[in-house]
Amino acid sequence: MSARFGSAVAAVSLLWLAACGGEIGAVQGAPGGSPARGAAGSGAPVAPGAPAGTAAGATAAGASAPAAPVDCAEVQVGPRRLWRLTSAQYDNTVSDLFGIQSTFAQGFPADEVVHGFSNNADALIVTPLYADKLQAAAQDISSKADLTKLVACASGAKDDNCLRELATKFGERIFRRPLQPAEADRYFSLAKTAPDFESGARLMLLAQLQSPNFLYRFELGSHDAKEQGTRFALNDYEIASELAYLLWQTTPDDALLTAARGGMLHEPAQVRVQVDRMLASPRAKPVVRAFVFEWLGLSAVTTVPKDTARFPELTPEIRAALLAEAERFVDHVMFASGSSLSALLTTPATYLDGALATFYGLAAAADPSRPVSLAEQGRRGILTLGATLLTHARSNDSSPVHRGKLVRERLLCQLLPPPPAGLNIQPPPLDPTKTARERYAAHSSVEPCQSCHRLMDPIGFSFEHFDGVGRFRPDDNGQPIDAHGEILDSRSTNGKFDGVSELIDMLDASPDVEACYSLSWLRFAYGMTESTESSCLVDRMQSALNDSGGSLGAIFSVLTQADQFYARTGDPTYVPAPPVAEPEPDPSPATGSGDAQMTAGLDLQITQSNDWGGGYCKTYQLKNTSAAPITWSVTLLVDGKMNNHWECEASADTGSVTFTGAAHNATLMAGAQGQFGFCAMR
Amino acid sequence: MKVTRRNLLRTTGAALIAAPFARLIAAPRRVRAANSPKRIIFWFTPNGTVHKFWRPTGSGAQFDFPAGSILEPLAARKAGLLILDGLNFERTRGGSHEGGMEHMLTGGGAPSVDQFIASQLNAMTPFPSIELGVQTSAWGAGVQTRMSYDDKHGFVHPDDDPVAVYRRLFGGGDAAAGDGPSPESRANDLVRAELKDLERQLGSLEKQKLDAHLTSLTQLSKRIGGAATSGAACGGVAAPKLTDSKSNERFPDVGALQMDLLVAAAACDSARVLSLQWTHTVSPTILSWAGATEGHHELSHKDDSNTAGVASFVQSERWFATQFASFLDKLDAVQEPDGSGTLLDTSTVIWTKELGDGRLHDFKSVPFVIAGGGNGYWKLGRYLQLGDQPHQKLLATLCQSMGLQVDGFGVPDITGSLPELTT
Repeated sequence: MSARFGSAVAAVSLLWLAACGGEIGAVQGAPGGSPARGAAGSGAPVAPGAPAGTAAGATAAGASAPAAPVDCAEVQVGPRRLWRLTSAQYDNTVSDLFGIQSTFAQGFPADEVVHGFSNNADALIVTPLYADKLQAAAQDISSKADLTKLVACASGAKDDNCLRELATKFGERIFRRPLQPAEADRYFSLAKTAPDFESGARLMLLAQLQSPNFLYRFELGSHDAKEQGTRFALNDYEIASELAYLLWQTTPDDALLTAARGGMLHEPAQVRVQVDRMLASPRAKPVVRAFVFEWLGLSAVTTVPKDTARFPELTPEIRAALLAEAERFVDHVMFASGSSLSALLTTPATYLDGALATFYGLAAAADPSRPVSLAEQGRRGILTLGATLLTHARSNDSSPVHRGKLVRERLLCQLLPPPPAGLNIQPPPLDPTKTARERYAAHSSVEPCQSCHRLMDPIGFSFEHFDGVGRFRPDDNGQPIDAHGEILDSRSTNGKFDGVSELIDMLDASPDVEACYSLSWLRFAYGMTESTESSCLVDRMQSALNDSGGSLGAIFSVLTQADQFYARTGDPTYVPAPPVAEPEPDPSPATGSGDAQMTAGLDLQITQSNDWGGGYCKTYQLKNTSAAPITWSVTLLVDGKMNNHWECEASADTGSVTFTGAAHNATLMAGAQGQFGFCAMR
Repeated sequence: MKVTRRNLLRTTGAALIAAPFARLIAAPRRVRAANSPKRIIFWFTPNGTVHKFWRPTGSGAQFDFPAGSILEPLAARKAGLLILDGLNFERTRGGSHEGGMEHMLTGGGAPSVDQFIASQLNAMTPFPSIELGVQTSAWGAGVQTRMSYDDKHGFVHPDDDPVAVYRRLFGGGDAAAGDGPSPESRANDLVRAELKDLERQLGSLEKQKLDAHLTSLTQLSKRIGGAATSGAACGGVAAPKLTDSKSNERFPDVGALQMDLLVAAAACDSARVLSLQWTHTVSPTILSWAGATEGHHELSHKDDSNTAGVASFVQSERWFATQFASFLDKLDAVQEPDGSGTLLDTSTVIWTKELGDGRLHDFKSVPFVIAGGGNGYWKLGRYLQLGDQPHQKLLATLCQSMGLQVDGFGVPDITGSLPELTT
């Protein structure tokens, strides 16, 4: 196992944007120079007893923490888990299910960011605020939903059958799997507590939209009792969800659900067919954009504050155009042309509109659908797009530190520690008489600074032809720009270069960057963080990805053909306790089935019972245990006044009530089952 | 395979739940003093300070805010403040901004002091605590952007959207007329039943996640069907209208609305523990309305030799101090329904930061300001130089002020409190 994995990876995104000022201890009254506390010589303070591999432990070269050896023959796949939808997935899913444009999740608490990615399964938790927001969204969605879009019967007979269809058919879509009969009953019974079809249907949606079955992607699988070991095979529906969210960031479409229903989605060959279909669709574009944007930290392009006096040209419209340009660029290089990391890094053309061309200082007002060469400005690839350069810069200036850090942490996957405490850290002030290289000179001359900044600044200097908002500049305030740079102390990508184009050549040829790209895809696709236990998976996946040539198709192929896509590890010895008997013990025996009078040969069971004190609902299951048809009747003592009943006729609404079947279930054939239910207020 | 505690550590907000040193306070008991404040409000602004522009002159009860200094906008309230100098962060788990942000309210343990107080008070308020934010989430949730931790969910997220805050706190109105539980209540019951089934089915697998979820829904269920509180009844706050709430220019507007909502929440006793988090550590916010042309974090790193830069930082900090003063004024303008004084009289408000000197990323003399009558609990009107004491003692003192008998807070080997704040 290589040293870059295991617990040595500091997960905190260390967005410290510091730079050393001219001298240490220039701050009055500062306790000069007491840098590291606790961590011997590694820079940042660490509390005694803190685990190895916190920020301080991760040097640029990837400090290795001693880890217990892992037997990779034993550990094959990740653990069984529940994976909460991200905000983006929630909105896409609701949009697809309800035929609306959902933006509800934009108001949910922000998803936690781990290694730049907001879909880490461990981190996605339902907090109290999240539960509240989820309910508010469910209220809005359920109250306005067009029911006829969900089940066709809602435009026709608004009856119990249609409510059942909502519970089962729409239930299968929203839960991404068929419901067990008892689950469907539970939702149907809930709906029946409402006074009419419409409010019942909306009540059902209100619950479905808050259900764990909707909110979490289940990756539980099942254990084959005949098998040894800890492997749980994922079922076809679980794999359908994996595919849907990996490739389209949304709920499974009809084709996936149909394949799952037919048991056609658990073999790698079956999955390959779906991957090919889905990747060929424009619906795969957003997920690739999302990956690139989170990997390279570009999402802030529309919001990161900038000095409006210094950059008055950076209007909200230009920010939006920069975002659109980056999206188009990713779409083109990842889908239309090379589809590889190399294309992402080196493609010298972009797709911009006239306003953005003007902002960039390019002569031609362009058609956004046609490639425009950026070679005259020395631009190549995603790293030289305005969105990247603007996001990784200071509010009023370029920043060799930010840009070097981007390359070091996101492209080389080498996390840097924060600066040691006690250093006077001042980014060099703007000074029209000096170039950035001169202004940042302290970083290479002052010891505590240079030990880290040598890993960033010499890379970042090569971007100096681009200002704080990503525009090309031939010189820096009239001073010539020296864009020479160097990568130091990388695993295998070391050396000098002249200008950003040569840097990009180096990165393009770098096995380190290739490995980092693969690792980033793994984190994103599987929603996991490397750990000692997952290192085997990571290592195997990474070499497969590296061997694949790195095209988008190859990446998705490796990700979806790997064992991780089909199984999870778990404890096969746990046996769930038997279900808590429903209903709860009934305080009113007169309404229990025990005291019911009924037709001979009939078996009666309560399958659902809700009781909130002021009222209650009950659902009964009937079975004809005789050898002949029965036209059934059941007499129960109803506590309170009945306000609702279903799949039955009732002789009265309170006291001793005789229930008989509705047209469709009045007569039960031998062995047949039926059900009915009612709600009452006390 | 299982994810070990060690791997989770520093990976997710939930990690702090499982932190091995998550030492809670020995046998906390609530013994309310007659003068215990009714509520406590945490107020955060980022990126440390420049002490020579923060410190008052003088000491004890004889002190002044120099002209042009950061705290000068609070001069009118001087008699109602405790300015705390000389409290250090000890035993931080990490360094720099992240280490400070994580340590500020936790003292190195979990949960954070606000959540601990809320859970121990167990007040019969609609919410155990209310967290509001001003542009805290553009970078997602992480160690840099969150200051509160509870022992079930890890990060406690502030709500950055005043429109949503109003709906959550005062929207009410969905309590069903007539008999029976509301649809929300019935749906909530069903979903909780599903979660319990799932827990039974899975055993220890994902138990933490499901427990966290269930706890959240149970909290919610207790509010459903409760009497709806209208904004009009809570100090007259109206439903806010705001667009573009994530843009830099809207920062003051969002802040003003959130302050009004917080006052309204206090007026209606929606929670006894409240907080307002202004942006986050390493904040890129440009306080252009205070004359800034650079991001707040960048300004916080101006060297003493850069007088213009430091002056701009001080102006930004004075703007925050002005907001703090205006918040105190708003609290002071609303009477408690029981006639016990104004909301300010019955509250403790504490302004906290995550670093000492922002340029140095150090944890020496992290600046704290206590305000509010605190029902007379605090001996106000003083500037205290506490001489290198661990800030865990302050956190313990805050617990004690709310009637919780604790002997320390945070890491186990730092105990004691700060009796000098009250006598």
